[in-house]
Amino acid sequence: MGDMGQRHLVLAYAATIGIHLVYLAYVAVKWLRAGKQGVGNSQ
Amino acid sequence: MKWWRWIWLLVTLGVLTEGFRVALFVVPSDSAQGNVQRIFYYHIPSWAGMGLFFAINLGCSLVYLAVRNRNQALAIRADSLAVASAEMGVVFCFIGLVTGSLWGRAVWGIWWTWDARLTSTLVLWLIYVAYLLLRRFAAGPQMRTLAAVMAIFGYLDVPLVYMSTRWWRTQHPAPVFGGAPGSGIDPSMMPAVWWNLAGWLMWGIFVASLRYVSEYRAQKAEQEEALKALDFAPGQTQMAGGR
Repeated sequence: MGDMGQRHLVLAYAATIGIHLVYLAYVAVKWLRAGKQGVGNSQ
Repeated sequence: MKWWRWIWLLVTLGVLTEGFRVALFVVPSDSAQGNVQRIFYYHIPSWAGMGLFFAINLGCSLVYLAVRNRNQALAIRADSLAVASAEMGVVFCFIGLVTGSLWGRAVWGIWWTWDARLTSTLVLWLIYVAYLLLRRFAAGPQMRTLAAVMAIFGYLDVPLVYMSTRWWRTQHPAPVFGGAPGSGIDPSMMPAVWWNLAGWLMWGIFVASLRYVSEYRAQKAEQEEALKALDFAPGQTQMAGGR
């Protein structure tokens, strides 16, 4: 690589992975909190 | 977390890694745009994910409205899945907007334009953000009913987004798949599309399933609290003679 827009390509891939990881962190927090409530733990 | 979730996660990460490798290092670069066209391989799965999860949200909202007064257990499951799928859809939609904007800046020289495709997509994202805000700041069964109705009306924008590049002249290019005769991409580029489509959809299903379980547990706990509160209400206990 090394042509026009390479920076945008890297940013687009980083943004995709980054946004998914941020949301995963939010879901993990929700998962842990719900686990402490002890309901439906057989899921 | 159950063992099969770990298996699913491992397979998903494997598919995503292969998708990343194929998209960046295997398939040829576009003759007109060069390497920046490779954004396409992350851009398309975002829209596919958005379409899938907003459709699930629509289905769950319809089920919730249909059964909410006669099957509480199913209603809670449907409502929990509606929340999980709406959030996942919003995440995919946001990524589609961000990757599209970066791609537009590289090839059009602009970050954004108010054409029919981009505007209808932004409106769609805002509708589902409003749906999630409604759920966050209101409470009770009325909120769930209202949210389900809102989801049904919100989904009306999805076909509009899909058809916008067919109905109107837009800055956004014409459809690559299912468009006019001769549309599509070179077959040598398709492996990158398939690997990333599969990988990101599998990722979405994994994360949404975790979110579904946590929402379901929270709603069950809320329901049990409410029932407990009814049990211990002094007037009611006296009249009903306890349970």
